[in-house]
Amino acid sequence: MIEKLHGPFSARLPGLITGAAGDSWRFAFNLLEPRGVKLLPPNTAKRLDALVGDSNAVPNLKAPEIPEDSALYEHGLVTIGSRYQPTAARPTDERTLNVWLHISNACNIGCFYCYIPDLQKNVVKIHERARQFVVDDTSAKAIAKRLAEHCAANQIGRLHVKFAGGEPTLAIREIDLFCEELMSLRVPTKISFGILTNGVFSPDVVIPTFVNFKFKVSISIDGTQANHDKIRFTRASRGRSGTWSTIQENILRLKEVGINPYILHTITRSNFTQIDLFAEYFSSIGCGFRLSLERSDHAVEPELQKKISGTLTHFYRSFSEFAPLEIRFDRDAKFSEWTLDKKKHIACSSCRKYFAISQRGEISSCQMRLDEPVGDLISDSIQNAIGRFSTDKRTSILHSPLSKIGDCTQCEYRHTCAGGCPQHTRNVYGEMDRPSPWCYVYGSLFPAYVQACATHLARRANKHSAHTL
Amino acid sequence: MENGINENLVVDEAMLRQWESAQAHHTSQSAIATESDDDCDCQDCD
Repeated sequence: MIEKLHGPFSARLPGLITGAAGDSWRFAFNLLEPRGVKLLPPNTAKRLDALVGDSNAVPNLKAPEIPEDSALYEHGLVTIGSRYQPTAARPTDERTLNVWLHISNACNIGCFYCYIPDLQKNVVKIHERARQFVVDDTSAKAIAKRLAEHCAANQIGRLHVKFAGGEPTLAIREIDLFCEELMSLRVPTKISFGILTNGVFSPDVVIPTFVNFKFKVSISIDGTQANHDKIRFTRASRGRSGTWSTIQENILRLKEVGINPYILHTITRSNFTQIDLFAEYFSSIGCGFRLSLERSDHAVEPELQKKISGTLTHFYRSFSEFAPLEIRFDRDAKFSEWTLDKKKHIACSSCRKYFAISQRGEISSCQMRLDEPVGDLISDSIQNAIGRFSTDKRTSILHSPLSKIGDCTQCEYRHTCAGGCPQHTRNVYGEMDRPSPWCYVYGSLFPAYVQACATHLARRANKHSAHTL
Repeated sequence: MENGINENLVVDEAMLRQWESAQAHHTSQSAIATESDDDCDCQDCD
């Protein structure tokens, strides 16, 4: 029985996670100032151990005393004068905007756990009767124009538009139209496109647009073929038809034109036992993946959390030992919203650098809240609409994460887990100032995940040693 | 320690990517092609 499902998962102050990574390395990770997993050479590891002593607190020095201190300071593992070494300016420091463009509120399948509000499921083809569920040509052009104006007026350096739905490829003609329109406006913003598809599309119709506009493609998969086909199927006249085979053919077609899709796998109570088979298969065909937990409207039973946590912990430990050395583990075997080189106060960037636009041009905090628009960019400006994120009590925490209160702000993993998906928490508990319904999984898995990233990193480092010696 | 580089260096993802990039350049082997860092349906791009 899990004793604690509420309250901070771990009330220790954030500090250092340290340990062995394979036979040759020690590693360290700073929970208070996450800058990625660091592999330490023996003298540096020894010095850090001496400074840390029996606590996990980040050591503070008055000044570097030996060369190893400078290395620890450079990598954010000690402070000097209570300050971290500033990080170098990164391209990510430029103003960015990510937009979920909900180009189609219809889907050609009907996953039971889909969190999109009021989605039209099992729509085979967009015919006239279903056209109301996809963006119309006038709106597509208007959305492109408004985004371009917003980027220019706000010095947005990078705009990423992700087409989603529903199944966005049902509206591939409209996607093409939108991209053409946005690019023709020639704003001084670096524009990129992505698409989140279920992989069930006609490749001859769809892939040319992906190629033409250099799309990054993400495909949702539900584990192994047997599990996947139980959940992701089309409804044919003679019953259900699983989509696995179609998707595998489309992945091959994508690879033929140089597009390597990234796989998104939602973990549910019915598929979590086969994560290892899923990972082995997709890594063998050269696809990175992300695992994320189902976001339902219900609390998750303790026993289920315990089972899933145990399975994921075992999986990450094992996969770090045999995953291909060509992958980047924390991206290509990613878990949830975890990013080990970013300090977070909330799990996502919704309402600050990210929002969703519906097929009708309505703006909302994210795709889980398409039913709570704060404005309409066709009749209003984007700036006016997103300005409401700061004043609307439903979104103010997302806009200003430091205003968050509650148990997560006291947790050891406050800057890494950062509480999980806030909209999922709100769906279950009615508020965001609570730990995630998956708190137990997140808290118990996190140290093992860091260890797994370190183990894989050490294997890659050892590979280089063999080449360079 | 046989790590093939200056044994006093701390190794992290950024450093390994530099090495791997250099090696791929020399051997014409490309690393696995994957999505961008912020690729997920939540856009965790903080």
